[in-house]
Amino acid sequence: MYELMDHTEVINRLLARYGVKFGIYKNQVFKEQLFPFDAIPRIIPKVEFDYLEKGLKQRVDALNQFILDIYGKKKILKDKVIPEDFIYSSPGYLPECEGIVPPRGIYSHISGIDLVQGKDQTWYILEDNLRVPSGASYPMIARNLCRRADPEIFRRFHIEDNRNYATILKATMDHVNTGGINVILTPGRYNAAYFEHSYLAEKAGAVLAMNSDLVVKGDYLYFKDYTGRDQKVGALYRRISDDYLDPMTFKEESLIGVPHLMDVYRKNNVAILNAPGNGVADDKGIYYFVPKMIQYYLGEEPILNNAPTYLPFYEEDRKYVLENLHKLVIKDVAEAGGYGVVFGSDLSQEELEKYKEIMKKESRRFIAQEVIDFLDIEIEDGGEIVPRKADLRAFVLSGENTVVWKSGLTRFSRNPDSFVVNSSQGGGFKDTWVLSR
Amino acid sequence: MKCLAFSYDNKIEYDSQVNQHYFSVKALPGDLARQIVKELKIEVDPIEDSSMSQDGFGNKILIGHTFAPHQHFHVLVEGTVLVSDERERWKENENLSLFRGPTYLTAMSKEMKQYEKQYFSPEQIKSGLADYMPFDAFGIADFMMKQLYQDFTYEKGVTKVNTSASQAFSFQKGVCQDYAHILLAFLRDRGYPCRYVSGLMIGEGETHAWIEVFNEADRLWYGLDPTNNLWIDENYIVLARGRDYRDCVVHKGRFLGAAGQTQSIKVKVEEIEWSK
Repeated sequence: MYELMDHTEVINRLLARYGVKFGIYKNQVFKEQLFPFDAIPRIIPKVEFDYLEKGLKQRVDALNQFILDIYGKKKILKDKVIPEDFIYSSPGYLPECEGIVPPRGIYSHISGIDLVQGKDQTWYILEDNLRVPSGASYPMIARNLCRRADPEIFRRFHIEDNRNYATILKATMDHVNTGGINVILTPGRYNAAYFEHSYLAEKAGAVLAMNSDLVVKGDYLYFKDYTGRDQKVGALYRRISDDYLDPMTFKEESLIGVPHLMDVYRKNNVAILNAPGNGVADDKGIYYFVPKMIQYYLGEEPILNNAPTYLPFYEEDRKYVLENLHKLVIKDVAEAGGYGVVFGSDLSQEELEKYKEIMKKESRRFIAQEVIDFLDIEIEDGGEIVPRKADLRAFVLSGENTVVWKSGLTRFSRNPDSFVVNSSQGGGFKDTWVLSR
Repeated sequence: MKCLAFSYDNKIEYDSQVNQHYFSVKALPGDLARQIVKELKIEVDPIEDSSMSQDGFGNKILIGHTFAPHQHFHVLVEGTVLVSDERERWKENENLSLFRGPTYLTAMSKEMKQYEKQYFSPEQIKSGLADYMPFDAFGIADFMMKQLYQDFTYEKGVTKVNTSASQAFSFQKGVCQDYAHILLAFLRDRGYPCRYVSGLMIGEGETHAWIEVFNEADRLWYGLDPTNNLWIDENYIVLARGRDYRDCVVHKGRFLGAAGQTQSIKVKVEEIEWSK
């Protein structure tokens, strides 16, 4: 498989031509960057992935039940498994979604679950991304290009084909479709993830649309095709965030949303993937409670573990956090994409004290985690093979069944001292090979 | 029980043509413990498409659009409502916590905290409560309302629709929306669930706003009108409820066109004889 390194440059050039990139905000300036590809694949043995698959299905099933419960009967709050205030103070909780049962009762259709593997080989869940997780198209196209570059390797290894992602995505959309066409809603070609939007639309046979192509009339959502004819939309895979989805319901200044979309959605006349309001379950504060959700809704023990996490909201945890802050990771629950993540070990005594003060005052704003000593994986750096930190974003699709895509996005950090692998922080990606035997 | 006939009449003139106009009207009273809607008529002009909808708080909305260019827009809602002074009971699955936390518009400022310390200490409230008032959420809300009513002046033009409680508080002036936000802020700071109500009132020429506070003792929502220092009775019609003004915007519009607009809203509420 190291032979693939010979093609790194060509593949990266092709990826750049396809527009495989992402955008980041640095010091308030928006910048687009190419997403560097490293040709050495990450390999996950079958047995290992079978285990991950079971654990991920379990986790996403529980998360889906949780969101449905929160916007419906709220059993988990009445039974005091999660304190109510955590829900209603979360920026991801949208009162606009109260009482909505989405088509087939599914809230999170496409879940991006971030995992890391520790030095002791144990896998830990780092984050659940249930809003608009992106990244599946990167390993899809990278695999495609690698197969073309060196078909021979793919005969020698028994690798699960990951080019079926679009088929699973289509089945997921079809399952919740309320009668009409499948549409992917993109904010447009200036969006950093536009490549992914167009690639997935093409591969999944969905119509790629911008908001100006869509209109709510009466109780339904329609797509205006090139002849000016209206076609009813049954499933809308939106690639814009909740805030911007419907200017008549959420942010009025949104120019990329569809006015009155929430109204037809509430009437169950269109499915929205992922459903609005999901943010309540991918809040870092709520992450702490996911193992409890699994026990509560499924009556099972969690197969996959969270990274050891403390919630300063609870006195016992707070005591531990204040005493051990210098060796913990602090995460601001309101931030995403690697922002608001601070390592206690990087802080001066003064800064530590400052954080402790804030934590005492705003006990719900942060979580603290033990630093996991990641298992290094190999990457190529200037012709050398060097060890670097990496994570894995697994994609779990919930349609008729819950399906774990047999691949995933492996992101690594270029900086040998960094634990933060988010693409927003300047890392690269790899293909993930899941062995089929 | 009273029978109230009401009309909400909103005329907008644009100084040049607008198009792609979407609108939402939340001026449709619904059936509640305290009110039964007997007749309801809605007219929108010009209109190309419309539909009835609902928000997460259960408020009814008329939604629709007009894409063709137009220079005026008219919404008329008329109806009759039977109103009593019955209070809303807590409903299964009702989110009290949602109404307990501050929102952007109902957050406390330092100045408000100081005021709270000075006038709303438990001792002061206890000693200041009228004999017939219990020391519970309703009693406390009533006490706060009376104090605020003394210290504030009703004045138009000082605040705007997006003025927060803390801004209005610093002016010591405002309109019904500001009175409501300020009282909500103080009650929420005490941990009492309370909600913003938009509605109509007899003798008032505009839409009105007040609050409802949840009383744990009897699990009822009590309505108070801080602008007029009154308890909500059968002279009020509820249009919508939410966390603050932003959940209850009576008319929302969005269109293309760089046009200035003049809006004239006329509200009429009067008691009529109810004949079955």
